[in-house]
Amino acid sequence: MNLRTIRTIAFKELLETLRDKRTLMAMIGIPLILYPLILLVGTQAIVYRQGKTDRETSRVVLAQGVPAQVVAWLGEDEKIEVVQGDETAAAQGLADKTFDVVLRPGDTEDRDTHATVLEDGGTLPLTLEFDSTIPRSAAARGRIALRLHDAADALVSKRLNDAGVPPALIQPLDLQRSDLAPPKKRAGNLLGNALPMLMIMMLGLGAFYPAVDLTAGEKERGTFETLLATPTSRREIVWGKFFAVVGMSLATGLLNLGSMAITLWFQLKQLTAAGPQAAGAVDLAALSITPLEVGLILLILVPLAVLISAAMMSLALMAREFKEASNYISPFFLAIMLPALLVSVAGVELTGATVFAPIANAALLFKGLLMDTATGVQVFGVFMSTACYALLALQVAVWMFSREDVVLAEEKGLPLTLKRSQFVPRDRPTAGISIAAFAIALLLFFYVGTWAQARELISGLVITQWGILLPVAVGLLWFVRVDLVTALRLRLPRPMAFVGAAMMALGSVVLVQQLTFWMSEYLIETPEAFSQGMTPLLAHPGSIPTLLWIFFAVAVSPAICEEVLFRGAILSGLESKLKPLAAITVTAVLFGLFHIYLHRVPPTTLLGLAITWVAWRSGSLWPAVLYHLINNGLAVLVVREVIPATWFGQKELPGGAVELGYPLGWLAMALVLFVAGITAVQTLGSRNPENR
Amino acid sequence: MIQAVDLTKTFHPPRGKPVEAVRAVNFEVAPGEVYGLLGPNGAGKTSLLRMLGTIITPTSGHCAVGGLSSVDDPVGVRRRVGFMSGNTKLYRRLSGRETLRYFGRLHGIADDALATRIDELIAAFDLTDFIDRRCDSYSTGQMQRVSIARVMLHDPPVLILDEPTLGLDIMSSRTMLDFVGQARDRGTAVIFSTHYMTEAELLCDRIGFLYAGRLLAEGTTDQLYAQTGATNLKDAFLSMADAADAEAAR
Repeated sequence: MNLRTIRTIAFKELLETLRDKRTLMAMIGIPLILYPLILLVGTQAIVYRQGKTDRETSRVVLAQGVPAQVVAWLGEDEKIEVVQGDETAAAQGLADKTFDVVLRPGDTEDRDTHATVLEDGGTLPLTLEFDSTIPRSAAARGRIALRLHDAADALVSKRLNDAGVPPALIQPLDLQRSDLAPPKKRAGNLLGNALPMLMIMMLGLGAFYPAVDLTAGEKERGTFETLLATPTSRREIVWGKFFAVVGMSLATGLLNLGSMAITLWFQLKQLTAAGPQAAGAVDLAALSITPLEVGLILLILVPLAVLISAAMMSLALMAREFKEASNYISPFFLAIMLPALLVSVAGVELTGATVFAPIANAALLFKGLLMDTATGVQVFGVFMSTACYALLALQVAVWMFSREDVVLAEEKGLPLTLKRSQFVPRDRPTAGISIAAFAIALLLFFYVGTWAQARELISGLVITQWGILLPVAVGLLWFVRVDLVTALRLRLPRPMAFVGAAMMALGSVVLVQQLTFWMSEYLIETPEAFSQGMTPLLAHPGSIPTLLWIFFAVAVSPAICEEVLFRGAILSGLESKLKPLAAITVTAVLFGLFHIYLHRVPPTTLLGLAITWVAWRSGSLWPAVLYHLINNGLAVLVVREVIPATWFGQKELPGGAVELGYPLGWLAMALVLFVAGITAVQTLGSRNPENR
Repeated sequence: MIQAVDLTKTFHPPRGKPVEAVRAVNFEVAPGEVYGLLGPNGAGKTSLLRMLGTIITPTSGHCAVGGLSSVDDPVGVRRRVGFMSGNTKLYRRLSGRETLRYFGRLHGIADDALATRIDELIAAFDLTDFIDRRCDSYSTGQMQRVSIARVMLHDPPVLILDEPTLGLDIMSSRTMLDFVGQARDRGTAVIFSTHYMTEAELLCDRIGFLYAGRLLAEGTTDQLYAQTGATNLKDAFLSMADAADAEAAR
């Protein structure tokens, strides 16, 4: 891919988009002018209303029979004014605004007792009539009710005092409430319900128009073929257009966020000045965001914008014209709003599977960052899964662009048909197919695999390996008509490749194990959840069938299925695009990332590096399978106590504590064994003379 | 310069039977030659030219431009080809100059050389008056001239023109035909499709009749007249098309 070409396309698309008035209005006009206008005018109105209501007196009409005592109480508030009015037509009077409320004695049989009931220690029934839809009437209701409650409270105290009863008698409890959530968390919770949804809406809104304009719009205007006739690859075109769409999406999102933040801050200042009750119980001013949190939000926003933009572009490309594309994208737009809405539903937290739920995970994390409760693992998980979805969406976009029936669609409607016959038979998959295999396997692993493993670990592992990884790798390659023997390197290697791989495996078991010890000591501790999840591996000690079942699930299955996916499908596809070193490294990193738990990523990546190199150098998958089998198999044997734990660097100290680490001699021997293994594979086990 | 061997294209519409748009077509075009592709609407002219221009890939057979295979090196082919059709319109929100700059860069021309080249083309096709206005304000003729300049940016040895005079007025048509004549004189291999018989008679060194995806016949006008006993291209074409229909009915 040529960067200058991609940049040229991206700049031209941006220039053209920015020259369109509709876009400018949606992207810049709304955030920069409309928000402040609406919010500020709204605030002014609230402040004005509040001030007006405070200044206005409340006019009350008293019906026949309201005792003089009550009238006296009302008279103590100078904002309450007793006026004359027709209390028999109260509703009309309220509507005409000749008075605000009517106070009348309740319906009791003996109205004459009303005058003395208060002195006699009885209960006076009163009805306050008002109209809740008239602001002045509603305000009068509040003011008069408050006044009468205060007066009643004072009367209660006096009655108790007269009867010689201590006030505590009617107040057995004095409950004080204290909210321990720090102000920032409270403010974040409040804002966190609305802001993520707004943010996702803005990203979508920003991507919407360019995604349609640069695909279906270009088709409609008849300029697509002009572009296709230039010496650019389809991939360059997709990337160029895609950068423009993501740029618009992010710019709209950030402009909106910034404009909202400034407006909100201004509004809060005004409300606070107008009086504390206007600003609400939660002090939004407590909401300060650190630069780190801003960085983290941006970190998530980028893949989110990528995901939304790529998906919208793919959808819009299927349409022949602008309007049709809008019809395709609108439902998608609503669909991405739904998970964002989930955030405001109480009880949904960012744990387990929700970390991998697209859009919703970002919204939840966004809220977590605002509330100061987000953890590093959450940030990592959300970023990884969002990036994964984004890559997949982008891959789909590239694939769509390379389909001439989609790009040159002249018939109306969705031209999408997926037939095996449309693919050209080939020896190796493309890099795109490899990435797609990885992304599909990862997603199924997240949703089906983790669920199955949570139900029952061992059978869940077997289901993950044989039910997900292997079928995805083999199925996808078969579907796109790739020669499986060549792509998966199923031919046997030279015998020394096996010997070398075994030596490397024995060496690396010790070296990688030692690295894990160091890491858990200095860097990342093994999460409790991970250790606890592994306990089924220790069940039924001494049982041979259990040992065999676990060995099959943890050693044999991954050695075959993971190797077919990573050293087969993924490596061969990446090789068609990248230089060998880069292809091996990327495969190893993907292999590492597949192990999800942060503490497992570095060791499995290193291990992946060694295994991938063996497969590449020997030209065969089988030494890699052996390597993987030895590595996992030894771990199973140690955990099941078939071989002593000291072999795995665990020394039991007197008192039950365990010291972790190998003696230096062991490490040196392991290193020698590993290097010797490399040499064996390199010289006597290589099947690729052209790679020398 | 242009070579098509058993070139075939089959489309699979979402509904209905597969459509064989181009069926095993063979022909060659030499440098300095104008090859006319004649045929009614739906004959497969556009699909054939799109395959030559690597906009779409052949279902079977192959084609090459300047010795490069359109399947193995489509980008290399596009570097050598100037492609223009009814569907290669201009970006309305860009000016003519921005359009030329954009496509020049996509052809990998360095910025300095590109500025010089654009000035040359502005002079050659008399674009000065409107080149800095947006394309949406152009007349059809102005649009045509900028499109020609766009095709000539990288001075391609091969021109593929799909009905370049369709919908043009007399003056604009003449500009187009003059342009094709000049390109031939400079040694460019030109293939151009049309269904205006007079245009083909006037301009083409050799003509191929395309009908229902097949190349019924090819040759100079005189050869085609001799084969059919006709005295003009229209009659020659119709008699071949009738013969093809009769054979298909049998």
